[in-house]
Formats: sequence, structure tokens, C-alpha cells
Amino acid sequence: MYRTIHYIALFATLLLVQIFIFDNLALSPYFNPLIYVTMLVLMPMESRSVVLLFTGLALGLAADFATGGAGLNTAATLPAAFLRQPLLALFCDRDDLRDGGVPSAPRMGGEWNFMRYAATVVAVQHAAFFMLESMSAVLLPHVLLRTVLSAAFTLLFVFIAARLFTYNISRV
Amino acid sequence: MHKLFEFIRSIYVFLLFIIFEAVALNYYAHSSSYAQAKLLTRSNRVVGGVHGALFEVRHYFSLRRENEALLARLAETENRLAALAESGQAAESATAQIDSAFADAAWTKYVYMTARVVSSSVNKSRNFMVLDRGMADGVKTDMAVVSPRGAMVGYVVGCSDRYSVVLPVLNTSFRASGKLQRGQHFGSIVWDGFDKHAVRLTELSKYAEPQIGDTVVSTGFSHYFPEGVMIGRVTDCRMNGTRTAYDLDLDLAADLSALHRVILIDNRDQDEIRELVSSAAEQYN
Repeated sequence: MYRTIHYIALFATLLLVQIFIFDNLALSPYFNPLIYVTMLVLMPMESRSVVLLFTGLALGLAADFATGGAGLNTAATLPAAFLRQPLLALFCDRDDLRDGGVPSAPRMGGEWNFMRYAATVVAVQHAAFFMLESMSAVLLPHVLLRTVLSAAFTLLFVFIAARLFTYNISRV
Repeated sequence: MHKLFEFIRSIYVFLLFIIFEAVALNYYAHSSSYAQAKLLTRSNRVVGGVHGALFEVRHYFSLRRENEALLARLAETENRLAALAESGQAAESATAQIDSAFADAAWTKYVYMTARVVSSSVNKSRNFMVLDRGMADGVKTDMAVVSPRGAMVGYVVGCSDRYSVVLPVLNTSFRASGKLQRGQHFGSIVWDGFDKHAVRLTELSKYAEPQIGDTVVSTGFSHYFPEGVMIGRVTDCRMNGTRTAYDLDLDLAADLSALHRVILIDNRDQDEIRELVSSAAEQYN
């Protein structure tokens, strides 16, 4: 597959940026964007579920290893990986889905569709992450605030990364 | 049988998902901060070098501020030495006193060394900090870590040859005891995971009469910290739910998000104390 190399590069770049920049960004406990989830958002639309699942597993394990997460990143990323395909189908026509390619606004029939799709994948993963991290209902308002702020930033990152990535791929 | 295989094939991704998720959750639920620190120690053999290189870049921009802090600290020490020299009857005898004090330094209870912060976070509930010194430099687990200005930062929980991992105050598993600088009442220091500048001093005796602005320092009870290490200042006091003790909000003295260098403190009596305690425990159990 001609895009494999691009995807491997994307995988490595996202993890490096996550580990060496965002995990070191000591700004605030409310700001912890998990930008590596961009990988799941941008996996080809025709990807098989099992490939997505293993991609999510690899992302989670790598992030856990590098940040001492002890399973937290993995446990939070797997649900997003598993739900990626159903979510994509929810926000996109059956025909578009069959055509495949990198998920993007033109391919999904509009900016709004792509935005809702990306936001849901990011939200699933971030919500799982911060809920598991706090493991307490008392702190729910804080957990929500944390999820919303971090997910909002990740979403911004996804949009920029999606533009760059589809631009690079379309030149091949 | 054939139908069973067909069925499994149709849902195998779901089964895989359930299995992976269960393993990950189980691992996470049973992992302590210490297990995480151990994992981090291992991964730093791989990523420590890159963290170190990035640190150099970030560090470059804070050199000026760090220099000023060092100079201030130096001036303060000079002042103290001068005061000490003046307070002695003759300058010579005072110098001799100071020299002899330093000659005995080899037998002090606490030994200090410096380290650079290679990576750290404040945005999780279990934050860790990685330092660029490890067992090869004489770092051991349980050494205390304080900021260059002497404020409490954390303690070492894992070491590899060249790196060590610190459990900082900003980790919900962090435990230390603290007391009001004036008076002997003490309580426990805890962080609830949300404000990188605020920790709490809980279970402080109701007779302590804390006031806003009071300084809270470490007690000598802990295995890690010497007595009197600055922790923070009281910003709010209230009685706990059962009205048996005070809960204080503290403004943390060390800014962990802007820390580039730290001081490690080794309590050399610690091993001896620990042996004594464990042998006593064996005897009376």
C-alpha cells in the first residue's frame, strides 16, 4: 500500500510530539492533550476493525511505556479504536465509506461531518482517560473540565494535522 | 462446531477488544505509583537521552533567571558567613571554627548533591519527574529532593544507572508530614490533583491555632526530608467535617513547572534506622 509509509511516519511523529513536547508541557493539571489519538482519526476509511484495534493498542502501549502510564493510555485508547469504524459510519455516507481514503471534510461530505466525527473519537478517548485517571465521582466537575479543555486542544491539533497529512498524501 | 467457529470469526475483533481492554484495566487498577515509577525508570534508558537534549534547549532560556537566583543565594550565604565571623571574638578563631566545621562535614547526617530535571509533568494526577543522575552518581531511592531555594519537591522512588525518577509533591500518592514553623503540631501533606500551586495540610491538631500566612515546614519524622524544609504558606484554614482537626490549604513554595535543577539530599542514618526498625518489628511481632 502506497500510504503505509506515510502512516508509519504519522505514527512515529505523533508519539514523539506527545512524549517529548506535550507530556513535558508543565502548564496546568487541566491541560493534558492526548494528541496521539489523531492517528485513529486519520486511519483510512476502509481500514479493517482489527487493524484499527491493533493501531490503538500500539499507540496506547507506546505512550504508556514512555510516560510510565501503567496501562492507562492503553485502556483509554482501545475503546476509541474499537468504536472508530462505527462512528465513521455514523457521520458519513455508505458510498463515501466504500470509496475509502484518508478521512477528510471533502471525502465525508462536508466540514461539519468530519468535525463531528473527529470530535466524537477524541471525546471518547479523552473522557475514558481522565475518568480512569481520577477514579472518583467526587471530582467529576474537575474531570469534566479537564476532558473538555484537553479534548478541545487535541481537536484543534487534529484539524491542523489532517490538513498537513492529506496535503502530503495527495502529492504522492 | 462449525457454526461456533463462524460465530467467533464474526465477533473476534470484539473479543480481542474485550481481552485487551480487560488486561489493560487490570494492569492499571493494580499498579501503584511505585510500579509506574519503575516503568518510567526502564523507559528512560530509551528516551532519557532525547529528554536530556530537549532539556538543554529549554534550559538555555532560563539561564539568566537561574543565575540571578544563584547569586542571591550566594550573597545570602556570604552574609551568614560574615555574620558568623563577626560574632566570633577574633576573626581567626571564627575562621578556624568554620574550617573545622567543614572538616567534619564528611560525617554529617545529610549529604547534598545537585541534579538536572530531564523531564517532568504537572498535568496528571500521578506526576513524575526524571533527573539526570542515577545509581552511578550515588543516587539511591528514598533520597529527598528539594528546589534550589530549599523548598520541598519530592523523593526518589526509582533509579537506573544514569537516571532517577522522583515522586513529587504533585502526585496524589505523595505522602509527607508537615508542621507549622511556629509550634510543634503536625499533619500530613496531600495533593488532590488539580492545582499545581496548592497542596493541603490535613489532620492538623485543633489546638494548633493556624493563621493565614503561616509557614509550613517538614517535620523530622519522615525518612526522606530533614527537619525544617520549607513546604509552603497557609492560604486558608478550616475545621474538618468532624471538627477534630484542621485542614489547611497551602501555597506550594516550589514551582514544579519551572524547575530545572534540584538538590538531592541523602539521609545517611536512614539505612541504620530502617534496619533497627525492621529488627525491632521482627522481635516484637
